[in-house]
Amino acid sequence: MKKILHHRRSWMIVPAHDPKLADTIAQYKPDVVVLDLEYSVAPKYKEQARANLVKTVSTIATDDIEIFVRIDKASRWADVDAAMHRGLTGIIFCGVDEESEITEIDALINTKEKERGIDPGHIELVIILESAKGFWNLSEILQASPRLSAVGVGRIDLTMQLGPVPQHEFRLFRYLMTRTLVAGKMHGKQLLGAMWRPDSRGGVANQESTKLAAQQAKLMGYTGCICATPEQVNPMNLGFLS
Amino acid sequence: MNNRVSRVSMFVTPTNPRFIDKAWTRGGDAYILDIEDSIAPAEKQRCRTLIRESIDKANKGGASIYVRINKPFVDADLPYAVWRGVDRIMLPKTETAEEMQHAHQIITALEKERGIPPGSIELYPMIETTLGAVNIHQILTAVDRKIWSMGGGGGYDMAVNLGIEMFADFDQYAYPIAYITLASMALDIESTGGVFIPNTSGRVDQSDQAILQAAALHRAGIHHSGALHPAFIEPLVKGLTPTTEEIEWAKAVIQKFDEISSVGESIGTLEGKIVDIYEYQKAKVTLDWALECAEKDCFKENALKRASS
Repeated sequence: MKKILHHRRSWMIVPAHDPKLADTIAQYKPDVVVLDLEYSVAPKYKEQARANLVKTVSTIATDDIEIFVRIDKASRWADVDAAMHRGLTGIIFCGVDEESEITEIDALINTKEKERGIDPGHIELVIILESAKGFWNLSEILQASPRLSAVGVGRIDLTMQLGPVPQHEFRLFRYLMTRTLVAGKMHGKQLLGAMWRPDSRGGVANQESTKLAAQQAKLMGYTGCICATPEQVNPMNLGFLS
Repeated sequence: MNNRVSRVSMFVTPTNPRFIDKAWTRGGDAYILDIEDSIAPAEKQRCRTLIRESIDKANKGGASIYVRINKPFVDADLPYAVWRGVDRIMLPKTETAEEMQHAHQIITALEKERGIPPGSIELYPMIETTLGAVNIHQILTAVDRKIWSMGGGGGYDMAVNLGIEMFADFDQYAYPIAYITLASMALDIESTGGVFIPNTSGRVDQSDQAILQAAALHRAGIHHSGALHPAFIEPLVKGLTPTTEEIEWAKAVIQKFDEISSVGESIGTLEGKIVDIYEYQKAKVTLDWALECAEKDCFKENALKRASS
Protein backbone atom coordinates (compact mmCIF):
# COMPACT_ATOMS: atom_id res chain seq x y z
CA MET A 1 0.00 0.00 0.00
CA LYS A 2 1.46 3.32 -1.02
CA LYS A 3 1.76 6.03 1.52
CA ILE A 4 0.64 9.22 -0.22
CA LEU A 5 1.86 12.26 1.66
CA HIS A 6 0.81 14.89 -0.84
CA HIS A 7 -1.46 15.70 -3.72
CA ARG A 8 -0.12 14.95 -7.13
CA ARG A 9 0.95 18.50 -7.90
CA SER A 10 4.10 18.14 -10.01
CA TRP A 11 4.22 15.50 -12.73
CA MET A 12 7.85 15.55 -13.87
CA ILE A 13 8.66 14.32 -17.35
CA VAL A 14 11.89 12.33 -17.70
CA PRO A 15 12.83 10.73 -21.01
CA ALA A 16 12.60 6.96 -20.48
CA HIS A 17 15.98 6.43 -22.18
CA ASP A 18 17.82 8.95 -20.00
CA PRO A 19 20.64 7.07 -18.20
CA LYS A 20 20.63 9.66 -15.40
CA LEU A 21 16.91 9.61 -14.70
CA ALA A 22 17.31 8.16 -11.19
CA ASP A 23 19.57 11.08 -10.25
CA THR A 24 17.13 13.61 -11.71
CA ILE A 25 14.29 12.11 -9.69
CA ALA A 26 16.36 12.09 -6.50
CA GLN A 27 17.40 15.69 -7.05
CA TYR A 28 14.03 17.26 -7.91
CA LYS A 29 11.65 15.02 -5.90
CA PRO A 30 8.48 15.49 -7.95
CA ASP A 31 5.15 14.26 -6.61
CA VAL A 32 4.81 12.03 -9.67
CA VAL A 33 7.45 10.69 -12.04
CA VAL A 34 6.43 10.49 -15.68
CA LEU A 35 8.68 8.22 -17.71
CA ASP A 36 8.32 9.56 -21.20
CA LEU A 37 8.02 7.66 -24.45
CA GLU A 38 6.67 10.69 -26.29
CA TYR A 39 7.85 14.23 -27.07
CA SER A 40 11.14 14.12 -25.15
CA VAL A 41 12.23 10.86 -26.81
CA ALA A 42 13.57 11.35 -30.33
CA PRO A 43 12.74 8.58 -32.84
CA LYS A 44 16.19 7.05 -32.65
CA TYR A 45 15.88 6.44 -28.89
CA LYS A 46 12.33 5.03 -28.87
CA GLU A 47 13.31 1.34 -28.88
CA GLN A 48 15.81 1.82 -26.13
CA ALA A 49 13.35 3.88 -24.08
CA ARG A 50 10.72 1.12 -24.28
CA ALA A 51 13.26 -1.57 -23.45
CA ASN A 52 14.43 0.34 -20.34
CA LEU A 53 10.98 0.45 -18.79
CA VAL A 54 10.89 -3.06 -17.29
CA LYS A 55 13.87 -2.35 -15.13
CA THR A 56 13.21 1.34 -14.50
CA VAL A 57 9.61 0.93 -13.36
CA SER A 58 10.49 -1.70 -10.77
CA THR A 59 13.60 0.01 -9.43
CA ILE A 60 12.30 3.58 -9.24
CA ALA A 61 8.89 2.88 -7.72
CA THR A 62 9.10 3.18 -3.95
CA ASP A 63 6.63 3.88 -1.22
CA ASP A 64 6.61 7.58 -1.94
CA ILE A 65 7.28 7.77 -5.64
CA GLU A 66 4.48 7.13 -8.05
CA ILE A 67 5.41 6.16 -11.59
CA PHE A 68 3.40 6.93 -14.70
CA VAL A 69 4.43 6.30 -18.30
CA ARG A 70 3.49 8.81 -21.00
CA ILE A 71 2.76 6.92 -24.19
CA ASP A 72 3.04 8.24 -27.72
CA LYS A 73 -0.33 8.27 -29.48
CA ALA A 74 1.22 7.09 -32.74
CA SER A 75 2.72 3.98 -31.09
CA ARG A 76 0.34 3.62 -28.15
CA TRP A 77 -0.13 -0.16 -28.39
CA ALA A 78 3.59 -0.97 -28.29
CA ASP A 79 4.11 1.68 -25.63
CA VAL A 80 1.43 0.29 -23.29
CA ASP A 81 2.90 -3.16 -23.77
CA ALA A 82 6.36 -1.87 -22.83
CA ALA A 83 5.09 0.10 -19.82
CA MET A 84 2.86 -2.40 -18.03
CA HIS A 85 4.96 -3.80 -15.19
CA ARG A 86 4.45 -4.14 -11.45
CA GLY A 87 5.29 -0.85 -9.80
CA LEU A 88 3.52 1.24 -12.43
CA THR A 89 0.71 3.48 -11.19
CA GLY A 90 -0.69 4.62 -14.50
CA ILE A 91 -0.52 5.53 -18.16
CA ILE A 92 -0.67 9.06 -19.53
CA PHE A 93 -2.31 9.37 -22.94
CA CYS A 94 -1.91 12.74 -24.70
CA GLY A 95 -3.89 13.97 -27.67
CA VAL A 96 -7.04 11.88 -27.18
CA ASP A 97 -9.67 12.81 -29.78
CA GLU A 98 -12.54 10.48 -29.05
CA GLU A 99 -14.12 7.97 -26.73
CA SER A 100 -13.24 4.90 -28.81
CA GLU A 101 -9.53 5.54 -28.33
CA ILE A 102 -10.05 5.25 -24.57
CA THR A 103 -12.18 2.11 -24.77
CA GLU A 104 -9.49 0.49 -26.88
CA ILE A 105 -6.59 1.42 -24.55
CA ASP A 106 -8.65 0.36 -21.53
CA ALA A 107 -9.13 -3.09 -23.05
CA LEU A 108 -5.43 -3.38 -23.79
CA ILE A 109 -4.56 -2.41 -20.20
CA ASN A 110 -7.05 -5.05 -18.96
CA THR A 111 -5.30 -7.74 -20.95
CA LYS A 112 -1.85 -6.70 -19.83
CA GLU A 113 -2.88 -6.55 -16.16
CA LYS A 114 -3.97 -10.18 -16.42
CA GLU A 115 -0.84 -11.28 -18.26
CA ARG A 116 1.57 -9.56 -15.89
CA GLY A 117 -0.05 -10.33 -12.54
CA ILE A 118 -1.13 -6.76 -11.79
CA ASP A 119 -4.32 -6.32 -9.74
CA PRO A 120 -7.25 -5.82 -12.08
CA GLY A 121 -8.17 -2.16 -12.36
CA HIS A 122 -4.98 -1.05 -10.60
CA ILE A 123 -3.48 0.88 -13.51
CA GLU A 124 -4.83 4.41 -13.79
CA LEU A 125 -5.34 6.27 -17.02
CA VAL A 126 -4.63 10.00 -17.25
CA ILE A 127 -5.58 11.87 -20.37
CA ILE A 128 -4.17 15.14 -21.62
CA LEU A 129 -6.22 17.05 -24.19
CA GLU A 130 -4.43 18.77 -27.03
CA SER A 131 -6.91 18.94 -29.89
CA ALA A 132 -10.19 20.65 -30.73
CA LYS A 133 -11.80 17.23 -31.29
CA GLY A 134 -10.72 16.09 -27.84
CA PHE A 135 -12.11 19.18 -26.14
CA TRP A 136 -15.34 18.94 -28.09
CA ASN A 137 -15.83 15.26 -27.13
CA LEU A 138 -14.64 15.75 -23.56
CA SER A 139 -17.66 14.54 -21.65
CA GLU A 140 -17.95 11.26 -23.61
CA ILE A 141 -14.21 10.68 -23.31
CA LEU A 142 -14.28 11.11 -19.54
CA GLN A 143 -16.95 8.43 -19.18
CA ALA A 144 -15.19 5.88 -21.36
CA SER A 145 -13.15 4.10 -18.67
CA PRO A 146 -13.39 3.68 -14.88
CA ARG A 147 -9.57 3.82 -14.76
CA LEU A 148 -9.57 7.41 -15.84
CA SER A 149 -8.40 9.40 -12.82
CA ALA A 150 -7.24 12.75 -14.15
CA VAL A 151 -7.70 15.01 -17.15
CA GLY A 152 -5.30 17.69 -18.25
CA VAL A 153 -5.09 20.64 -20.60
CA GLY A 154 -1.98 20.05 -22.69
CA ARG A 155 0.02 21.82 -25.34
CA ILE A 156 -3.00 23.41 -26.96
CA ASP A 157 -1.23 26.66 -27.77
CA LEU A 158 1.18 24.60 -29.87
CA THR A 159 -1.00 21.86 -31.32
CA MET A 160 -4.01 24.08 -32.03
CA GLN A 161 -1.80 27.02 -32.97
CA LEU A 162 -3.54 29.42 -30.65
CA GLY A 163 -1.71 32.71 -30.81
CA PRO A 164 -1.78 35.40 -28.14
CA VAL A 165 -4.72 37.80 -27.82
CA PRO A 166 -4.56 41.37 -26.48
CA GLN A 167 -5.85 40.18 -23.10
CA HIS A 168 -2.42 38.61 -22.62
CA GLU A 169 -3.68 35.06 -22.91
CA PHE A 170 -3.61 32.42 -25.59
CA ARG A 171 -6.68 32.55 -27.78
CA LEU A 172 -9.40 30.21 -26.38
CA PHE A 173 -7.15 29.18 -23.48
CA ARG A 174 -9.42 30.36 -20.67
CA TYR A 175 -12.48 28.82 -22.30
CA LEU A 176 -10.80 25.44 -22.78
CA MET A 177 -9.48 25.48 -19.20
CA THR A 178 -13.01 26.24 -17.98
CA ARG A 179 -14.66 23.67 -20.21
CA THR A 180 -12.25 21.02 -18.93
CA LEU A 181 -12.81 22.12 -15.33
CA VAL A 182 -16.58 21.78 -15.59
CA ALA A 183 -16.50 18.37 -17.28
CA GLY A 184 -13.66 17.11 -15.07
CA LYS A 185 -15.39 18.13 -11.84
CA MET A 186 -18.67 16.70 -13.04
CA HIS A 187 -17.05 13.30 -13.49
CA GLY A 188 -14.86 13.53 -10.38
CA LYS A 189 -11.43 13.66 -12.03
CA GLN A 190 -8.27 15.41 -10.91
CA LEU A 191 -7.59 18.47 -13.07
CA LEU A 192 -4.12 19.02 -14.49
CA GLY A 193 -2.98 22.21 -16.16
CA ALA A 194 -1.60 25.67 -15.61
CA MET A 195 -2.71 29.09 -16.76
CA TRP A 196 0.21 29.56 -19.18
CA ARG A 197 0.74 32.99 -20.72
CA PRO A 198 1.98 33.69 -24.24
CA ASP A 199 5.37 34.84 -22.97
CA SER A 200 5.96 31.57 -21.16
CA ARG A 201 5.70 28.85 -23.77
CA GLY A 202 4.87 25.81 -21.65
CA GLY A 203 7.98 23.73 -22.11
CA VAL A 204 10.45 26.54 -21.57
CA ALA A 205 8.67 28.71 -19.02
CA ASN A 206 10.91 30.08 -16.30
CA GLN A 207 10.40 29.36 -12.61
CA GLU A 208 8.56 32.57 -11.85
CA SER A 209 6.04 32.32 -14.69
CA THR A 210 5.57 28.61 -13.94
CA LYS A 211 4.67 29.35 -10.33
CA LEU A 212 2.27 32.10 -11.40
CA ALA A 213 0.65 29.80 -13.98
CA ALA A 214 0.18 27.16 -11.26
CA GLN A 215 -1.21 29.63 -8.72
CA GLN A 216 -3.77 30.93 -11.18
CA ALA A 217 -4.77 27.41 -12.22
CA LYS A 218 -5.17 26.48 -8.55
CA LEU A 219 -7.60 29.37 -8.12
CA MET A 220 -9.65 27.90 -10.97
CA GLY A 221 -9.79 24.41 -9.45
CA TYR A 222 -6.76 22.70 -10.96
CA THR A 223 -4.52 20.78 -8.58
CA GLY A 224 -1.47 19.73 -10.58
CA CYS A 225 0.39 19.98 -13.87
CA ILE A 226 2.87 18.26 -16.13
CA CYS A 227 6.41 19.64 -15.68
CA ALA A 228 8.12 19.60 -19.07
CA THR A 229 11.47 20.28 -17.39
CA PRO A 230 12.72 19.30 -13.90
CA GLU A 231 13.19 22.97 -13.04
CA GLN A 232 9.41 23.37 -13.10
CA VAL A 233 8.87 20.89 -10.26
CA ASN A 234 9.58 23.28 -7.41
CA PRO A 235 7.51 26.23 -8.72
CA MET A 236 4.63 23.84 -9.51
CA ASN A 237 4.75 22.40 -6.00
CA LEU A 238 4.72 25.89 -4.53
CA GLY A 239 2.05 27.20 -6.88
CA PHE A 240 -0.32 24.30 -6.19
CA LEU A 241 0.45 24.14 -2.45
CA SER A 242 -2.73 23.93 -0.49
CA MET B 1 -6.86 32.10 -60.50
CA ASN B 2 -9.01 33.51 -57.73
CA ASN B 3 -8.85 31.67 -54.42
CA ARG B 4 -10.66 31.74 -51.09
CA VAL B 5 -8.37 34.18 -49.34
CA SER B 6 -10.65 36.62 -47.57
CA ARG B 7 -8.51 38.77 -45.31
CA VAL B 8 -11.28 41.31 -45.41
CA SER B 9 -14.82 41.12 -46.69
CA MET B 10 -16.89 44.30 -46.84
CA PHE B 11 -20.62 44.88 -47.11
CA VAL B 12 -21.89 46.86 -50.11
CA THR B 13 -25.44 47.90 -50.91
CA PRO B 14 -26.36 47.00 -54.52
CA THR B 15 -29.08 49.69 -54.49
CA ASN B 16 -26.64 52.54 -53.94
CA PRO B 17 -24.63 53.31 -57.11
CA ARG B 18 -22.16 55.38 -55.10
CA PHE B 19 -21.08 52.22 -53.23
CA ILE B 20 -21.56 49.44 -55.73
CA ASP B 21 -19.93 51.24 -58.66
CA LYS B 22 -16.80 52.11 -56.71
CA ALA B 23 -16.35 49.04 -54.53
CA TRP B 24 -13.91 47.33 -56.94
CA THR B 25 -11.40 50.17 -56.55
CA ARG B 26 -11.18 49.72 -52.77
CA GLY B 27 -8.98 46.62 -52.72
CA GLY B 28 -11.17 44.23 -50.73
CA ASP B 29 -10.59 40.47 -50.97
CA ALA B 30 -14.35 39.94 -50.92
CA TYR B 31 -17.51 42.02 -51.15
CA ILE B 32 -20.80 41.06 -49.61
CA LEU B 33 -23.78 42.10 -51.73
CA ASP B 34 -26.38 42.74 -49.09
CA ILE B 35 -30.10 42.16 -49.36
CA GLU B 36 -30.50 42.12 -45.56
CA ASP B 37 -30.00 44.76 -42.90
CA SER B 38 -28.62 47.57 -45.05
CA ILE B 39 -31.65 47.43 -47.37
CA ALA B 40 -34.97 48.96 -46.36
CA PRO B 41 -38.06 46.70 -46.72
CA ALA B 42 -39.46 48.82 -49.56
CA GLU B 43 -36.14 48.43 -51.46
CA LYS B 44 -35.75 44.64 -51.07
CA GLN B 45 -37.31 43.66 -54.36
CA ARG B 46 -35.36 46.26 -56.36
CA CYS B 47 -32.20 45.09 -54.58
CA ARG B 48 -32.86 41.46 -55.54
CA THR B 49 -33.08 42.37 -59.21
CA LEU B 50 -29.75 44.22 -59.00
CA ILE B 51 -27.70 41.33 -57.56
CA ARG B 52 -26.80 39.66 -60.84
CA GLU B 53 -25.39 42.80 -62.49
CA SER B 54 -23.70 43.81 -59.22
CA ILE B 55 -21.51 40.69 -59.28
CA ASP B 56 -19.53 41.84 -62.31
CA LYS B 57 -19.32 45.38 -60.96
CA ALA B 58 -17.95 44.39 -57.56
CA ASN B 59 -15.51 41.71 -58.74
CA LYS B 60 -13.69 43.84 -61.32
CA GLY B 61 -10.75 44.20 -58.92
CA GLY B 62 -10.46 40.45 -58.37
CA ALA B 63 -12.60 40.23 -55.24
CA SER B 64 -14.73 37.23 -54.34
CA ILE B 65 -18.46 37.85 -54.12
CA TYR B 66 -20.77 36.83 -51.30
CA VAL B 67 -24.50 37.51 -51.04
CA ARG B 68 -26.25 38.01 -47.72
CA ILE B 69 -29.92 37.07 -47.89
CA ASN B 70 -32.79 37.57 -45.44
CA LYS B 71 -33.73 34.95 -42.89
CA PRO B 72 -37.52 35.44 -43.39
CA PHE B 73 -37.22 35.55 -47.21
CA VAL B 74 -34.92 32.64 -48.06
CA ASP B 75 -37.25 31.33 -50.77
CA ALA B 76 -37.73 34.74 -52.34
CA ASP B 77 -34.08 35.83 -52.12
CA LEU B 78 -32.18 32.75 -53.30
CA PRO B 79 -33.39 32.76 -56.95
CA TYR B 80 -31.93 36.28 -57.20
CA ALA B 81 -28.73 35.39 -55.31
CA VAL B 82 -27.45 32.12 -56.77
CA TRP B 83 -25.41 32.96 -59.88
CA ARG B 84 -22.10 31.96 -61.40
CA GLY B 85 -19.54 34.28 -59.82
CA VAL B 86 -21.07 34.07 -56.34
CA ASP B 87 -18.73 32.28 -53.94
CA ARG B 88 -20.81 32.25 -50.80
CA ILE B 89 -24.38 32.67 -49.65
CA MET B 90 -24.59 34.12 -46.16
CA LEU B 91 -27.54 32.95 -44.11
CA PRO B 92 -28.14 35.42 -41.28
CA LYS B 93 -29.29 34.47 -37.78
CA THR B 94 -29.03 30.76 -38.51
CA GLU B 95 -30.36 28.78 -35.58
CA THR B 96 -31.13 25.23 -36.71
CA ALA B 97 -29.95 22.44 -38.99
CA GLU B 98 -33.34 22.59 -40.77
CA GLU B 99 -32.69 26.15 -41.94
CA MET B 100 -29.38 24.99 -43.44
CA GLN B 101 -31.07 22.03 -45.16
CA HIS B 102 -33.81 24.21 -46.59
CA ALA B 103 -31.37 26.75 -48.09
CA HIS B 104 -29.10 23.95 -49.31
CA GLN B 105 -31.93 22.29 -51.25
CA ILE B 106 -32.86 25.50 -53.01
CA ILE B 107 -29.23 26.36 -53.83
CA THR B 108 -28.62 22.83 -55.14
CA ALA B 109 -31.62 23.10 -57.50
CA LEU B 110 -30.53 26.55 -58.70
CA GLU B 111 -26.93 25.39 -59.27
CA LYS B 112 -28.22 22.60 -61.49
CA GLU B 113 -30.61 24.82 -63.38
CA ARG B 114 -28.02 27.56 -63.99
CA GLY B 115 -25.05 25.39 -64.91
CA ILE B 116 -23.07 26.14 -61.77
CA PRO B 117 -20.84 23.27 -60.54
CA PRO B 118 -22.90 21.46 -57.87
CA GLY B 119 -21.87 22.28 -54.33
CA SER B 120 -19.46 25.02 -55.44
CA ILE B 121 -21.30 27.82 -53.66
CA GLU B 122 -20.54 27.88 -49.98
CA LEU B 123 -23.46 28.18 -47.57
CA TYR B 124 -22.26 30.23 -44.65
CA PRO B 125 -24.38 30.21 -41.49
CA MET B 126 -24.13 33.47 -39.58
CA ILE B 127 -24.39 32.81 -35.86
CA GLU B 128 -25.97 35.88 -34.32
CA THR B 129 -28.23 34.47 -31.62
CA THR B 130 -27.87 32.31 -28.52
CA LEU B 131 -29.87 29.47 -30.08
CA GLY B 132 -27.58 29.46 -33.11
CA ALA B 133 -24.52 29.30 -30.86
CA VAL B 134 -25.92 26.40 -28.83
CA ASN B 135 -26.80 24.46 -32.02
CA ILE B 136 -23.53 25.19 -33.81
CA HIS B 137 -22.39 21.57 -34.27
CA GLN B 138 -25.70 20.48 -35.83
CA ILE B 139 -25.69 23.57 -38.04
CA LEU B 140 -22.16 22.93 -39.30
CA THR B 141 -22.90 19.28 -40.06
CA ALA B 142 -26.42 19.74 -41.44
CA VAL B 143 -25.66 19.67 -45.15
CA ASP B 144 -23.33 18.01 -47.61
CA ARG B 145 -21.80 21.28 -48.72
CA LYS B 146 -18.33 22.43 -47.79
CA ILE B 147 -18.05 25.17 -45.18
CA TRP B 148 -14.56 26.67 -45.52
CA SER B 149 -14.41 28.95 -42.57
CA MET B 150 -16.58 29.81 -39.63
CA GLY B 151 -16.81 32.68 -37.18
CA GLY B 152 -19.59 34.51 -35.44
CA GLY B 153 -20.99 34.56 -31.94
CA GLY B 154 -20.82 38.32 -31.42
CA GLY B 155 -22.12 41.44 -33.12
CA TYR B 156 -25.17 43.65 -32.99
CA ASP B 157 -27.80 40.93 -33.21
CA MET B 158 -26.18 38.84 -30.50
CA ALA B 159 -26.07 41.92 -28.26
CA VAL B 160 -29.80 42.45 -28.83
CA ASN B 161 -30.53 38.77 -28.23
CA LEU B 162 -28.52 38.78 -25.00
CA GLY B 163 -29.90 42.14 -23.93
CA ILE B 164 -26.45 43.67 -23.52
CA GLU B 165 -24.43 46.61 -24.82
CA MET B 166 -22.64 46.08 -28.14
CA PHE B 167 -19.69 48.34 -27.33
CA ALA B 168 -18.01 47.41 -24.07
CA ASP B 169 -14.53 47.45 -22.55
CA PHE B 170 -14.62 43.72 -21.75
CA ASP B 171 -15.23 40.69 -23.94
CA GLN B 172 -18.93 40.09 -23.47
CA TYR B 173 -19.01 37.46 -26.23
CA ALA B 174 -16.12 35.32 -24.94
CA TYR B 175 -18.23 32.23 -24.35
CA PRO B 176 -20.31 32.03 -27.58
CA ILE B 177 -17.33 32.94 -29.74
CA ALA B 178 -15.13 30.31 -28.08
CA TYR B 179 -17.85 27.67 -28.30
CA ILE B 180 -18.39 28.29 -32.02
CA THR B 181 -14.64 28.36 -32.64
CA LEU B 182 -14.11 25.06 -30.85
CA ALA B 183 -16.92 23.40 -32.82
CA SER B 184 -15.50 24.59 -36.14
CA MET B 185 -11.97 23.54 -35.24
CA ALA B 186 -13.24 20.11 -34.16
CA LEU B 187 -14.83 19.77 -37.62
CA ASP B 188 -11.67 20.93 -39.43
CA ILE B 189 -13.31 24.17 -40.53
CA GLU B 190 -11.03 27.17 -40.43
CA SER B 191 -12.05 29.35 -37.51
CA THR B 192 -12.36 33.08 -37.94
CA GLY B 193 -13.78 33.90 -34.52
CA GLY B 194 -12.75 37.43 -33.70
CA VAL B 195 -10.31 38.61 -31.11
CA PHE B 196 -11.59 41.13 -28.61
CA ILE B 197 -10.30 44.68 -28.98
CA PRO B 198 -11.90 47.22 -26.69
CA ASN B 199 -14.01 49.70 -28.67
CA THR B 200 -16.30 51.82 -26.55
CA SER B 201 -16.65 54.61 -29.11
CA GLY B 202 -19.13 52.73 -31.25
CA ARG B 203 -17.36 53.98 -34.38
CA VAL B 204 -16.50 51.51 -37.11
CA ASP B 205 -14.75 53.83 -39.57
CA GLN B 206 -11.42 54.56 -37.88
CA SER B 207 -8.44 53.06 -39.65
CA ASP B 208 -6.25 53.12 -36.52
CA GLN B 209 -8.78 50.75 -34.97
CA ALA B 210 -8.36 48.59 -38.09
CA ILE B 211 -4.58 48.47 -37.62
CA LEU B 212 -5.01 47.32 -34.00
CA GLN B 213 -7.59 44.78 -35.07
CA ALA B 214 -5.39 43.40 -37.86
CA ALA B 215 -2.35 43.10 -35.58
CA ALA B 216 -4.36 41.29 -32.91
CA LEU B 217 -5.98 38.88 -35.40
CA HIS B 218 -2.64 38.19 -37.06
CA ARG B 219 -0.92 37.40 -33.77
CA ALA B 220 -3.79 35.12 -32.80
CA GLY B 221 -3.46 33.23 -36.10
CA ILE B 222 -6.76 34.34 -37.65
CA HIS B 223 -6.81 34.96 -41.39
CA HIS B 224 -10.13 36.68 -41.92
CA SER B 225 -12.01 39.75 -40.90
CA GLY B 226 -15.04 41.79 -41.86
CA ALA B 227 -15.39 45.49 -42.49
CA LEU B 228 -18.23 47.99 -42.59
CA HIS B 229 -16.14 50.88 -43.91
CA PRO B 230 -13.59 51.07 -46.77
CA ALA B 231 -11.03 52.66 -44.43
CA PHE B 232 -10.65 49.22 -42.82
CA ILE B 233 -9.73 47.39 -46.02
CA GLU B 234 -6.11 48.31 -46.61
CA PRO B 235 -4.92 47.93 -42.98
CA LEU B 236 -6.61 44.52 -42.73
CA VAL B 237 -5.32 43.18 -46.06
CA LYS B 238 -1.82 44.28 -45.16
CA GLY B 239 -1.98 43.31 -41.50
CA LEU B 240 -3.21 39.75 -42.10
CA THR B 241 -0.56 38.97 -44.73
CA PRO B 242 2.67 37.37 -43.43
CA THR B 243 5.60 39.79 -43.43
CA THR B 244 8.92 39.10 -45.19
CA GLU B 245 10.55 38.51 -41.79
CA GLU B 246 7.88 35.97 -40.83
CA ILE B 247 8.36 34.13 -44.12
CA GLU B 248 12.16 34.06 -43.73
CA TRP B 249 11.85 32.79 -40.14
CA ALA B 250 9.40 30.07 -41.23
CA LYS B 251 11.84 28.91 -43.92
CA ALA B 252 14.70 28.82 -41.41
CA VAL B 253 12.59 26.79 -38.94
CA ILE B 254 11.68 24.28 -41.65
CA GLN B 255 15.30 23.93 -42.71
CA LYS B 256 16.42 23.45 -39.11
CA PHE B 257 13.74 20.88 -38.38
CA ASP B 258 14.65 18.93 -41.53
CA GLU B 259 18.26 18.89 -40.32
CA ILE B 260 17.46 17.58 -36.86
CA SER B 261 14.91 15.06 -38.19
CA SER B 262 17.43 13.65 -40.66
CA VAL B 263 19.63 12.51 -37.76
CA GLY B 264 16.73 11.01 -35.76
CA GLU B 265 16.50 13.87 -33.27
CA SER B 266 13.28 15.78 -32.57
CA ILE B 267 14.19 18.97 -30.72
CA GLY B 268 16.73 21.63 -31.65
CA THR B 269 17.25 25.34 -31.24
CA LEU B 270 17.52 28.25 -33.65
CA GLU B 271 18.67 31.65 -32.39
CA GLY B 272 17.85 30.56 -28.86
CA LYS B 273 14.33 29.40 -29.73
CA ILE B 274 13.05 25.84 -29.67
CA VAL B 275 12.52 24.13 -33.01
CA ASP B 276 10.33 21.04 -32.83
CA ILE B 277 7.40 19.42 -34.61
CA TYR B 278 5.04 22.16 -33.40
CA GLU B 279 7.20 25.04 -34.58
CA TYR B 280 7.69 23.17 -37.85
CA GLN B 281 3.93 22.83 -38.36
CA LYS B 282 3.39 26.47 -37.51
CA ALA B 283 6.06 27.47 -40.02
CA LYS B 284 4.32 25.41 -42.70
CA VAL B 285 1.03 27.19 -41.99
CA THR B 286 2.80 30.55 -42.36
CA LEU B 287 4.31 29.56 -45.71
CA ASP B 288 1.06 28.09 -47.05
CA TRP B 289 -0.85 31.19 -46.02
CA ALA B 290 1.79 33.50 -47.51
CA LEU B 291 1.53 31.62 -50.79
CA GLU B 292 -2.26 31.86 -50.86
CA CYS B 293 -2.10 35.59 -50.09
CA ALA B 294 0.44 36.11 -52.88
CA GLU B 295 -1.79 34.20 -55.30
CA LYS B 296 -4.79 36.34 -54.34
CA ASP B 297 -2.80 39.58 -54.58
CA CYS B 298 -1.55 38.61 -58.03
CA PHE B 299 -5.09 37.81 -59.19
CA LYS B 300 -6.37 41.13 -57.83
CA GLU B 301 -3.53 43.07 -59.43
CA ASN B 302 -4.15 41.57 -62.87
CA ALA B 303 -7.90 42.08 -62.62
CA LEU B 304 -7.37 45.69 -61.60
CA LYS B 305 -5.04 46.29 -64.54
CA ARG B 306 -7.59 44.89 -66.99
CA ALA B 307 -10.44 46.89 -65.45
CA SER B 308 -8.47 50.14 -65.43
CA SER B 309 -7.24 49.94 -69.02
